[in-house]
Amino acid sequence: MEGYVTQHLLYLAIGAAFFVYTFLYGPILGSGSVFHVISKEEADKKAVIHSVVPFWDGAGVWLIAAAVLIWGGFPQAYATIFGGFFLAVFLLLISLLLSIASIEMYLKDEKRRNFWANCYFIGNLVSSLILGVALGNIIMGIPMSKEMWFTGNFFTLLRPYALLVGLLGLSLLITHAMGYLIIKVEGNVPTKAQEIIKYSNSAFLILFVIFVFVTHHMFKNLPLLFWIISAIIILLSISMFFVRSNYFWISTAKLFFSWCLIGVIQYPYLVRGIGDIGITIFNNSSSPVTQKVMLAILAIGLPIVALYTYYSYFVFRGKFSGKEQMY
Amino acid sequence: MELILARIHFAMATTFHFIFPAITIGLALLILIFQTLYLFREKEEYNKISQLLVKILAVVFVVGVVTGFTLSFAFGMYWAKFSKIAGDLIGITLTAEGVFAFFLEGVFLGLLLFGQNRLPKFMYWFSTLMVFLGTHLSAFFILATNSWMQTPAGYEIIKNAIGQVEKIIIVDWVQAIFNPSTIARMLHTTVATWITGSLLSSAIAAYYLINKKNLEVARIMFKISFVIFALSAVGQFFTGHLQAMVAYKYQPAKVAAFEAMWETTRGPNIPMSIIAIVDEKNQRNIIDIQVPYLNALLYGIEFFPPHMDLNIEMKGIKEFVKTLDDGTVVKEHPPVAITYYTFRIMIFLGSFFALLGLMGLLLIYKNAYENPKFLKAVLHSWPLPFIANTAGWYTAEIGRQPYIIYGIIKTKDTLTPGLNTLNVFLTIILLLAFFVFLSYVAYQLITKIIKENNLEKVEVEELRQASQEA
Repeated sequence: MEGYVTQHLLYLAIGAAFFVYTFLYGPILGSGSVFHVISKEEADKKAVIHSVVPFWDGAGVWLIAAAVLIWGGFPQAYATIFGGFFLAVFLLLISLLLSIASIEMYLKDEKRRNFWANCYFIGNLVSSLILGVALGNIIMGIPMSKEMWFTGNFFTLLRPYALLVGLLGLSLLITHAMGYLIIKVEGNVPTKAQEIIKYSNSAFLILFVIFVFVTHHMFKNLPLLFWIISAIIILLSISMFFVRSNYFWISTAKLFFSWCLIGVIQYPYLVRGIGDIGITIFNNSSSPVTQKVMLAILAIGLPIVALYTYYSYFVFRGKFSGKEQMY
Repeated sequence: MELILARIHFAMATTFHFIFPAITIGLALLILIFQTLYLFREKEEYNKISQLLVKILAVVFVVGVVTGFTLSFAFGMYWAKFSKIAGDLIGITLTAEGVFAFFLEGVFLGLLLFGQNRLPKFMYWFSTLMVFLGTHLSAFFILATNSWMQTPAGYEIIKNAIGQVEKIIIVDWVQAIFNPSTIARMLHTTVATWITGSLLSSAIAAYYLINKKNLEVARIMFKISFVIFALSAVGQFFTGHLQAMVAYKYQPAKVAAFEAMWETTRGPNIPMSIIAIVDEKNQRNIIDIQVPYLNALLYGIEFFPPHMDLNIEMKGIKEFVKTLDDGTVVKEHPPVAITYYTFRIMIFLGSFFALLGLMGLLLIYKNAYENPKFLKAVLHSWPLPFIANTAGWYTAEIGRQPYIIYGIIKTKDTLTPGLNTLNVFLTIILLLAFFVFLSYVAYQLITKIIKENNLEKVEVEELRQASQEA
């Protein structure tokens, strides 16, 4: 069957792009969500922002990359999600815009520093939540017409399972961000982050067990892989209570396995419908020419991207104190 | 109603967005030039100029990303059917844009903004090169997408049972990317951004010269920026002509609207309307000042390859109004008046830039450019390229109507199913408020950067900071 291989490779590529997005942009989403808790004073807030500001743009592009891969690889899925979840997507857009704008403006626009600090907090908190809620919805399934357009409304999206996934994502992103701040920031922030990590990791662990339980009840015939990956994530979470460093790399592994888990639950669906319907990687994919060209672009481009992204993290290695001259 | 609102939304979002990348792309060229001079000539002045421009670029870039982000969401939110139908093409061009351009500009801009003290001199220069490359590649891929919507190529159409377009499949991706209008549009738009950036930079230098600030540096900055401006402004006539020729060949209805030409006319005497009042209802121009032969000369002469034939035919708008069997009238042409006027605004401003550029070149050559009147003219001209860019963009996009993908599918058929009027209205208001606020903040910050930047005393400042840190 033509396209069979490319459809699967693109499915993996979309998952990989989302993983890298949460890995690299997660420090921003998570640190923003607890911005006023982690950093009470301006010096600390500055340190947090300094530790992310050289990287935000390169990291944020991964979300665009993921969206474009869905769009180009599986156009109907993109059209259904963005057109259907209209208000939710708009809310995500606005909060992401606040997140992006506030990072640089916090440092530059001294007159409105408090305002931008609040934007950094709200923008990232809402973005983190909505990304999870949207994911929860496409996992549990949405009402859709025969032509695969969304037929629910805004409140359809706020079902308990979706909210559970939203909170799960938030707690994981906060944990990840705290791990990042511990290795990238000096001063009061790391001590505070150590404390927060205990809470966010506990919350994640509890929510995750509920998630596994509920998901098992929703989809009876989950593959063995689902249980193996879930066990790994639980073990990684427990291990976080016993280590004193390396939080960041453990949470990176958790992010990786979480995306694997979602891939396993979702396959072959991109957007599950309620009933005997849904957008799969087979029934709406773009033409083989497009899929091949897209994969070729990824194969050529991503190694180069990885190289200079690594270089940028190398140049800005070490810890930020908030006192350095950034401009 | 939701169709009109969705259109207003898109017009608003693109208009706002297009202001900022035009500066970014133009400034990226200037920064590369000044850093290259600094790399080879070791004069501290070049570095100071590019540092100033980098600071401005940083502010502008944020707003550009914010407004651009909005657009990538907008296609799916408001034009879901378009997203589905054109997904095959978008997959190629936007994946390439993301992977080859967005990452490049994003990562290297971070290095450019924050890496001055951390990078070796060569790597800093390399970052400016990569930002230049990234911004220009980004322009290329998005313009290739837009060009494909204007002059589609390399595709096959799949229709559903009732004859509607279901999907457009790409069969030849090289033809699709390098479709008939890509190169011309890329050249024309890129040069427009160079005009924008270099005039902005010249205006900043003119501001310093008028206020007798940073004189040494400002002189260098002015001369180099202005020469780039002048060359771009003159060159723009050639790229513009190239693009008009593509439109003439592939989008005759658009050209008819450019020239407000109602009847089909044959050469060699095809006059060009310089300025007219277009009466769209009665299909005529009321007051019409014309220059004979000019349109035949404009559309009859080609440079690549050189070719001249003044006995051309130019289709009139009336040819694109069709009456169906049941008596309904279908307009297959864009709105005439607005296309005609935006085209005129672009041409008039373009001519002004070329005149200003040539005059300035003469003054620079005679070393008489520090004439306050001339400097003031340059200073106050800085907003004009934005008007020209927007007018040109409107000409291109409105000129494509009623089609979203020219000749294949109309804009009105690609709206998201079940779009809610109130929701669309709300999003317009909220986005507009946010964009206006952000632009205002950006404007404040940029003027502050320009006013407070003391280019003469940077070294002292650096010493002071260094001692503070120690």
